[in-house]
Amino acid sequence: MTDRPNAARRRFIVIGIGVATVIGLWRELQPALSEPRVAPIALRSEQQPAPAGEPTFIVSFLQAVPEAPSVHASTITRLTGGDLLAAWFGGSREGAQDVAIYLARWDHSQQSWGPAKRWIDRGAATRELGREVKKLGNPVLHQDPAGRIWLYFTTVSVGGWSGSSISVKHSDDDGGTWSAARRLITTPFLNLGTLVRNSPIDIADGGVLLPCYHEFLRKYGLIVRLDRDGRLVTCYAMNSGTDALQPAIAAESDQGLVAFYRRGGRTAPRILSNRSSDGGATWTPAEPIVLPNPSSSVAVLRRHGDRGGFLLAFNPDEQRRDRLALAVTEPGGDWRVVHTFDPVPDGTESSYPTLIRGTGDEYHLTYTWGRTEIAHVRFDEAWLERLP
Amino acid sequence: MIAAIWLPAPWAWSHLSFALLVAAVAAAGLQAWSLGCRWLRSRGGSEDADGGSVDQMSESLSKPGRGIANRPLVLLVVGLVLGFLPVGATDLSGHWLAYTGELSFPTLAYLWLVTLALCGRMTDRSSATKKAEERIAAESVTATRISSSGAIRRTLAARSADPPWSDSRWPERIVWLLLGTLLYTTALSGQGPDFYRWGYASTPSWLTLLAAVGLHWAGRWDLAAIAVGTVLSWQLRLSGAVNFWDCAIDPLLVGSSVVMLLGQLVRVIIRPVVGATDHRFYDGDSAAGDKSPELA
Repeated sequence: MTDRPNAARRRFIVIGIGVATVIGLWRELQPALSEPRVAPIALRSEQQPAPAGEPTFIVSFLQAVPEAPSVHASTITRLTGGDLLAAWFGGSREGAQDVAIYLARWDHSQQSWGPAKRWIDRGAATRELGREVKKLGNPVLHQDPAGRIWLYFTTVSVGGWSGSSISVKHSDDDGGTWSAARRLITTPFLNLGTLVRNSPIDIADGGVLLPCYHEFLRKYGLIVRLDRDGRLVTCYAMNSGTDALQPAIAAESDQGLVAFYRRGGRTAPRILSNRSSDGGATWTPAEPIVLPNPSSSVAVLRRHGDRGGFLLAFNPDEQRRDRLALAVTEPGGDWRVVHTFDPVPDGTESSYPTLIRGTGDEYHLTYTWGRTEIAHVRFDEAWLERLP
Repeated sequence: MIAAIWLPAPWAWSHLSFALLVAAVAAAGLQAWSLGCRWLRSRGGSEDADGGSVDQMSESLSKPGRGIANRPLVLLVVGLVLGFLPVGATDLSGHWLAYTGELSFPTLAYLWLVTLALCGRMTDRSSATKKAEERIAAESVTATRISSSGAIRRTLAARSADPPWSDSRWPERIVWLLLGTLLYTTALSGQGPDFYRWGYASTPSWLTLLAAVGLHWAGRWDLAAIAVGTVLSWQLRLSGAVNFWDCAIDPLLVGSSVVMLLGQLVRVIIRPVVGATDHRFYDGDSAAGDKSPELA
């Protein structure tokens, strides 16, 4: 070792320390991250509910795709002008390498679904992410208050679903064109094990709280906080124990959130639930509620209007996914099952619901119908009010 | 705007990770090949100037040669080129990184140090020690001063450029092991304190910067550089990770630390301690032995 290289190294490191200190101080001067507050749109409709008239309850099906006989895990969001955009994954079977994510658009003026388009497959995901993707999983669509459409989707590079990670794309023209996919890094261990299933909640700073869950070694809920540009800001553990997954969240107040979970295989066959009073940063321990759960996804939605109350779509059975039901609750009240949807004739699966608020006082529900089709149900407050 | 500028950064990081992996593995392979050839020649009785003894073979690690095996930059370029080879829907690095994920800055730095050491781009530590002793003698440093903080700094400095596989690096391996255990158990258990979440704040980066200052003072320029580089890579989002721990540690680093610590433990157990040599720092490295190299 000679003196000259030593001196050069010393200088280099001192300069590095200086630069890092300056950047660090500059970052400290930026506004501190505050506790998330729910955006007003997540609490009440931006449009007044239409006057109660004839109730609406219409069931339709999204157009099937011959190349994807097995479909599952639908998601739906509103577009401008009352149109809707739905996504789901389809292929020869769940987890197969030919599974792709499909998109279909609901034309509000025509009151019908357009043809399904193959939106992204594992080859395209591999190219866009710059790394091998073995299979695709659950997608989640969401329109933010600025009108940008986000699509979060699950990719698997290693192993089964426990080897998943979340990727994201966005569109600024109602789904016409999409950005390249990029990965969200949510765990320290090879970024393995995080999946997405349910819709996020908009927060006041323009970002979202995306409910995710972890399946590697343990099953637990996770809130991923993203900024208005879809960049990960931080993650919050949901205190859901080690056997709860697929959290569905809804806003009770500007910092009050409630979550409902699919139970894993080791706990009582009940939906699990917990609450946060600080915008999702901390959560009460998850506890079972009265409604059953056969280890299947649930969906929750705050109802139209200012009165609060929630809708919950779930499988009302401890073992089987053959029926799908709708329950309602008023603030502080108990859950009341108000409707059970017609089962699939062959008794197969009706599951994985997604609920969104539509225009006026409408709601939209999509779910897996027999693993062969995606069902879409439109209903409104008037229909809900007439239920026993 | 800033985000748009930095979009290629994670892409470049991924390719650099793969290139460094290839360079380190290639350097090890070429070195093993070279040593094997010399050993065979010596067994065959055709000793030459380069391959006469084990000592000479070991010493060759610290002598930069002219072949590709001694040119780390060439190996790095080879790694970069290989990484861009199209395989299926992506390139070779994309396939590899599907399994390793984004590598942390310390891992990249260690991989580069491995490549440098194997390419003989480090001078022999004994000569460095000799030079240090000559300098001390020239500066008329007293024995008292040598045995106090100066000795600590000199000892640390002498260790500073040991190759990454050297047993003398056991303290940093313990740090990686403890950090990894703490991080992975809390992050993957879903219960208890969320140590990983702490990495979204700036506190760990400040602590690391403080550690860099201390390491720099102690003469551990390599670790100081790793600490500073880790902080900068996080601040500039070079790997795309938002969490500081993703820039500071990864399973490859923790895993290799565990393997090396276990190997060292086994060697300590099965080999009797001989003499008064400071085995904690200098002994037990079969590749380097008493010839642990110092960076030129």
